[in-house]
Amino acid sequence: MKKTLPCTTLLLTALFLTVSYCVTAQTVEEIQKLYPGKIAVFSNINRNVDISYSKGVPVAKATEVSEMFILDDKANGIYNKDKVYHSSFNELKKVEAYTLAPDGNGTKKMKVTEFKIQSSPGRGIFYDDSKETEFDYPKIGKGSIAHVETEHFNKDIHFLSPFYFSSYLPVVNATFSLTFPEDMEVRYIIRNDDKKKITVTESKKGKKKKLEFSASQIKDDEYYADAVSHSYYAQHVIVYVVQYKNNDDEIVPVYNTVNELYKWNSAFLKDINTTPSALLKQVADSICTGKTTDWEKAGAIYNWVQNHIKYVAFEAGLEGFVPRQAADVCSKRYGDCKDMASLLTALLNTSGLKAYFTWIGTRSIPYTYNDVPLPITDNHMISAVKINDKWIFLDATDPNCIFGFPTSNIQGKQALIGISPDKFELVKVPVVTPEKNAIIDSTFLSIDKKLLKGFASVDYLGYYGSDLYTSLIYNKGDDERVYARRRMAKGSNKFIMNDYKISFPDNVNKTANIRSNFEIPDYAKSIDDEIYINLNLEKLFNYTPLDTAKRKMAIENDYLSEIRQVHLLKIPEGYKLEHLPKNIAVSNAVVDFSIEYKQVNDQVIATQKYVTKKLYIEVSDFKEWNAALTKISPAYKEEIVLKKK
Amino acid sequence: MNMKLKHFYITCLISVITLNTNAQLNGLYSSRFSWTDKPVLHQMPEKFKDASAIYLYDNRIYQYKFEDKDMVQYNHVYKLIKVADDKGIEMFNKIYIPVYRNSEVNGLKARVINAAGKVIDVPASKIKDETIEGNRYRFFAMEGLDKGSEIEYTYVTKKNPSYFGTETFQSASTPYANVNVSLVVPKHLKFEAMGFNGLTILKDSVIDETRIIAAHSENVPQLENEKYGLPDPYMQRIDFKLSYNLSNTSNVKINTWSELGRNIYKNLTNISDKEKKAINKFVNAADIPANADEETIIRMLEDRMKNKINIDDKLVSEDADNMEAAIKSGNTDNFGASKFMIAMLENKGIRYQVVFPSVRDQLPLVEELENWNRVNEMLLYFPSTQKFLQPNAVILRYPYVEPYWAATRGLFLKITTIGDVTTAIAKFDTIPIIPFDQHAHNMEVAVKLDASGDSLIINSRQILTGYGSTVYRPLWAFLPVDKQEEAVKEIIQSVAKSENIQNIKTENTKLTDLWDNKPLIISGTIHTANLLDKAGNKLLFKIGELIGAQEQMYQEKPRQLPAEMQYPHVLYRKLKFQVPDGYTIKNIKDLTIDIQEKKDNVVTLGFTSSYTLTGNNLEVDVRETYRELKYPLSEFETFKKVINAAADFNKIVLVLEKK
Repeated sequence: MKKTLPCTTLLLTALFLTVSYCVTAQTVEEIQKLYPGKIAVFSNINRNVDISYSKGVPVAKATEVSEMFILDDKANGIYNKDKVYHSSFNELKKVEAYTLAPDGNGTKKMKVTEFKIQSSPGRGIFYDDSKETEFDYPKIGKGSIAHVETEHFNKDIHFLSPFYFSSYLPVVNATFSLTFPEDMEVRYIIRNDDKKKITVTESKKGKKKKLEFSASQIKDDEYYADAVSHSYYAQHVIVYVVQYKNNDDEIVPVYNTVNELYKWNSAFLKDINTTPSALLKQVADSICTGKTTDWEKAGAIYNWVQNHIKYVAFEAGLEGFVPRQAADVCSKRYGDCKDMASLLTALLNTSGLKAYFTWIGTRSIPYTYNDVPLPITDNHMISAVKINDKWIFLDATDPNCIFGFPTSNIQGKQALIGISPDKFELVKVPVVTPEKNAIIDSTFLSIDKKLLKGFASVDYLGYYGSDLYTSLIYNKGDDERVYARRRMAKGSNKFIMNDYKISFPDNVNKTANIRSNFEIPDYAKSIDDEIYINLNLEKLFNYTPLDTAKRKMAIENDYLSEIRQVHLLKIPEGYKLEHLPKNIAVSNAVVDFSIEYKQVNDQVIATQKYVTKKLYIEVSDFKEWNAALTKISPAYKEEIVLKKK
Repeated sequence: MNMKLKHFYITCLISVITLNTNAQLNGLYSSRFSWTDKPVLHQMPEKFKDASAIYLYDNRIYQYKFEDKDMVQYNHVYKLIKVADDKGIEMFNKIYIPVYRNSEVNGLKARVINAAGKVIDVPASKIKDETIEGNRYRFFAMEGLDKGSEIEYTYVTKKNPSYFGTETFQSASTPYANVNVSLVVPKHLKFEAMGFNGLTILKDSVIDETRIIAAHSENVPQLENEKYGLPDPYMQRIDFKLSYNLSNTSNVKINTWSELGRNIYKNLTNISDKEKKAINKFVNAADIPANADEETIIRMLEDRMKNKINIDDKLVSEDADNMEAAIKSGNTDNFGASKFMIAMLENKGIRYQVVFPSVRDQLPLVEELENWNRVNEMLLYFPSTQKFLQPNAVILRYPYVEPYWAATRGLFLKITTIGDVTTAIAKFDTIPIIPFDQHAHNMEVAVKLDASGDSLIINSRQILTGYGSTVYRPLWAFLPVDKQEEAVKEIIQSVAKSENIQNIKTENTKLTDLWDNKPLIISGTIHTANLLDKAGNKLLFKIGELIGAQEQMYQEKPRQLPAEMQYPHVLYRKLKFQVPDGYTIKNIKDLTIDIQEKKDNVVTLGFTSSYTLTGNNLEVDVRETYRELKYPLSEFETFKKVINAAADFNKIVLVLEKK
């Protein structure tokens, strides 16, 4: 039948397509000039969220159009596949996709006809209702445009997603708009836009107001393994509803200050742990037998939950917000963070301590509750207990976190402690100071017939200790030896570990010690009547300089730390110390570092010390960091010389 | 197995008519599927007392029976697992049961017997059912688990019958104490079964109208991943297939390799006239010169297909194998890529054979047991050039195929025409690998001290050929320019770390440079202080670090598996060093290493380094050779010595002393 179609219709169709999609768009050549060497860009990302009332309750419809402009045939095989995510809170109502492929002088629209929906659980989550709809664009090649448009439905306006302007490809134009009833109050927060690249316009049409945020020519995101999360540096807009009017013309508050957020949060707890449980009482009593102080009791309960409850997360729908009953968690022996918080809180309360459910954002979220009083500020729940007027933050998802320490991923974050249905406290979680997270290494070296031999004893304290306890869960038998060798190895990969012993001097404070005898063939150079050896067997501050021109995001350290290594070399019989390198020391806002050499009788002692002083090495710190490197690197090249007497 | 290959043998047994009376199998089921009301905890077997978890029993009964006129397969599965510690609990507290296409999982029961002996059932309401990463599962979490608990679960999968199967009973993480697998089939169906690596097949027994094939093993240890070890072929397993239908003609073997060959050939070449037309247009657009030889045509067709068509085995499409649709959409899957390539070859009248390789790092194709399910991957072989092509390998070009698909046996389908009928004859043969000297990771490096005397100027050229080049070339084929530049810098930094790299040059970066194995050359001038240490007034030049960090095997766990390389190869390095004026090298003899293994006077494996010093010019010649692929346990020590010799060279430091 196609053949009989009048030519004019075809022509018109082609024209229409060409007109509607290409008139405002730039040509491949123009875009290539803007983004030399790039394979593809997003020419347009456009999201509109329209809030309206359904039976007096606000609901949101999010329409998003995204167009990827292909600049190079290389894209074929890389950018064909696309996915749209959705869940019960964010239902996918429509997805349409097509490619506009160059065709002669015009373009040809080729629709995607097949979509595959499957489960897409979040990282570390056993089950939730997240789904992905996957499809492949046809004809991905230079000049084609991969177009997808979606419509999502949010039945609850508590869950409006932030809008990010940047992506893994450069974005030529990005627009986010929000339309909402005029009697509704809406607020927005713009993040990471120091250079004011985001334009905001407000307008009104009929009974609806509109807020529009747009930006253009946004660079593609750079990724670094050690970097802070995307939300720390990427430009984005957060919008939220403050209040609206219901059918009865009453004002309904939604979000405003932390008060409103807390009210919403605490409603999830109303039915939790309301009835006493014989099981919990029995468990709590048996854990606390013989414990007299609150500190001891809390410590014992924390350790019990850490040791007996495994992390398994069911997070479908409201399961993501409502903790389970403590008694259920106790008998099932598994749960997610909220479930562990529920059990901890209940056991502590049962034992007469004052413990509370506590919301918190892990360090992957940059916001405080004061800045962003919204659910996106937290992603985690713990229990907080007050002992001797001091808050202790208990997170049992880490099986070896030390009682009294926060888990490392909530250090410095604001905790929202739920005291009662209408009372809360905002408390900043402390950052554990460096000397508490220490590695102290004492290594005794000797040279026997050119072979460097040694004995090392290394203490691991604080987070280093608890990390080691956790590693040993997974490394048993032969694997424990392999693990110990990896921890102890120094000098070169020819490090041969002989006997070794791992001990746990204090398993309340998770300290550990590994000691081993070893030899490192070929490490010391013995030539003619001299021996050369570098006493920095481990180079603790061994980095490549940071590219200050390019890198625009901070480095995230897991924790502050202090490493001290003392290497004592016995001068072999018949030799004397011929050359001792100079000491160095660097101290700035980010790092303290020193190498100190001395001779004491027949021993050469080299002490290397490295203190990490900041959780976040900001871009403004990079210069100092590089300066430290410039000073330290040459020092690492200095070897000592022993000479035959 | 590839779904596309599966389509045609679902139906092959429907014609069988039998009276499948209920056999007296109760004894078998009750002994293998004991689900008692009062389960008793077991001791951790002495042999595996350190294991985190163990399968006390893994029992599987595969029953084939007729329901109405259709054959149905029931897989009865029973597992009893003991967990000893936290790691064991974490390994088994989440259970996933696969739900195959067109199948259903019934009778699912799961429970925990905790260390105190208390029984905790998993309620049916907590069993989820989802498709994750393309596969459907029923899954659940085990409740009440503690150290010393046992996990018991059973289910029955009802499915369309599959007349081929493999069951593996060995893993990297968990030992098996008792393994039982039985095939329960109507008497007239004769399955052949083979056990591998210790799994024993018992003799067939017949009870009434039912034939039973049973296999058993016990105390199966973990088989861990090792450096240069390919564990899959060494796993304990059973392979089985239906070979005779005694109710028809008892002596005619069915489900043979030839039958498979004919079927697949038919499927691969079954294309419509419209598709042929589309292929013809696609081929013509390649502008192949009229006088091009066969090899040129093959190369040009392959390159055109791989450039124009996105080959993705996870493509969301039902008609990925329709050539007209593939050309139109620019998308196809692995099977479609083979079909596409064949259609183009047929269009140009080029002779080829379809080859199914026994992939070296997977379970092998066994010639004597025609397990069609094992046929996963496809190559094309050209008798005229005696070379191979891999249709779905986007980053490779003729005559290169994935190295694990070569140096192995393969099932070759030779296409023959008798009268009007064209069909394929299947025969096993060897798929050779391109010889070792074609795969090089070579380098030429010239080093001198800069004017300051504190750092070095290094002119580095890395020369990569054959498989040595195939990991890098995709950088240019698929990355944007800025990422290419970053990657190239990183490659150069493997010679010496530095932020100061000048004169970067790359040559022969196209994927098609593999056609004639043109060397991929990456060169640059590195300015670095990194390879120099100071000891008083002496300079220590870490010459060994120029060859980059090396794999080492200085201190290994006891070896379980023979060593096997991905591909045989050579590494020839020429290191030149201009000794600074006024200096001498105190330990030049350290540069000599000579470890070689010879067979019939040919070096099969070795690491040698030697030097010459002419005036101020030191030249070091470092040669590392891996001529063969496989080194059995008896040769493992030598293999280790050579690997470690390279790692030893990496630690050589030259001491420079002022005269």
